[in-house]
Amino acid sequence: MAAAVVTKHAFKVEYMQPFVDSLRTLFDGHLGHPVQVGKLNLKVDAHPSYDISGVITFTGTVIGRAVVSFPYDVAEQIGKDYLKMDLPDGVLPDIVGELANIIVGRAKSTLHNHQITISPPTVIVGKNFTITLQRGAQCLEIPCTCKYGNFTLELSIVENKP
Amino acid sequence: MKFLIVDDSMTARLIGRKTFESLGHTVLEASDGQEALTVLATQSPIDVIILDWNMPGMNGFTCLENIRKISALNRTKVVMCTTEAEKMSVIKALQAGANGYLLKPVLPDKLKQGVEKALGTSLS
Repeated sequence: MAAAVVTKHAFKVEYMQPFVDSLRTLFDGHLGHPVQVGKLNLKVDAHPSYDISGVITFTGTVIGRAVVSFPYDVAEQIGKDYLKMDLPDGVLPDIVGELANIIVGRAKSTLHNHQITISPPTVIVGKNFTITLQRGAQCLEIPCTCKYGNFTLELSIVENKP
Repeated sequence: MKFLIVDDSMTARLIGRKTFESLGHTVLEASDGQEALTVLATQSPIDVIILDWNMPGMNGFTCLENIRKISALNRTKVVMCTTEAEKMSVIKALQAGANGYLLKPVLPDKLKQGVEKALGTSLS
């Protein structure tokens, strides 16, 4: 019996830069401190990298998803900077979703020549989840560091060919 | 004045409520476009609607189109408050009848200024 052939779709760097730029704009601007972006890794593990993750999927001329994943304490500190006050009970997952929404929303506007629609954010609390990819798609993990610690931005984007 | 904050984000609704209640205004909330239309049908007159775009169920743009079909809401100002940063989205919203367009993230000062610009008057 012939094995199914799954085409590997190379991730184009042109897709990544708008997300990194958007992340930097959010940190430098609203959050008020810089973020360092490390060397890209090909993510092989389908689980979220850290404790709390905001997931946005997009469809259109490209399809894929972006995940921003934080250790809980880092998310909490960033959340305080986002709101400019102590966090009310239960609001942290919502803020993580908003952060993902802002990063992807801004990136979308600079993904030239692509018409995409983004989903409302989904927030995953915990690591015991599997985030599935488009068949054959690769996921790039972008390690990030801010003054509160490390987190990741994970991107999987492929052209939507019929 | 009476405000309606329409956003699936609890955080965005919290910021809106904090902003306008601190200035002595009444704030109502809805978490999607359909819920907003229900509130508008039962709680009119609403003076200002702060409207997110990307929401589950009825999104903000469809909600805006519906709002502008309701003659009783002709005088209601709608300020989009969204992560949709594309120029075409801004144009589309303004053409559909939005009175202002704010890009998230917003804090109380930016939100207040955006609404004042749409209203053409000071809120405080």
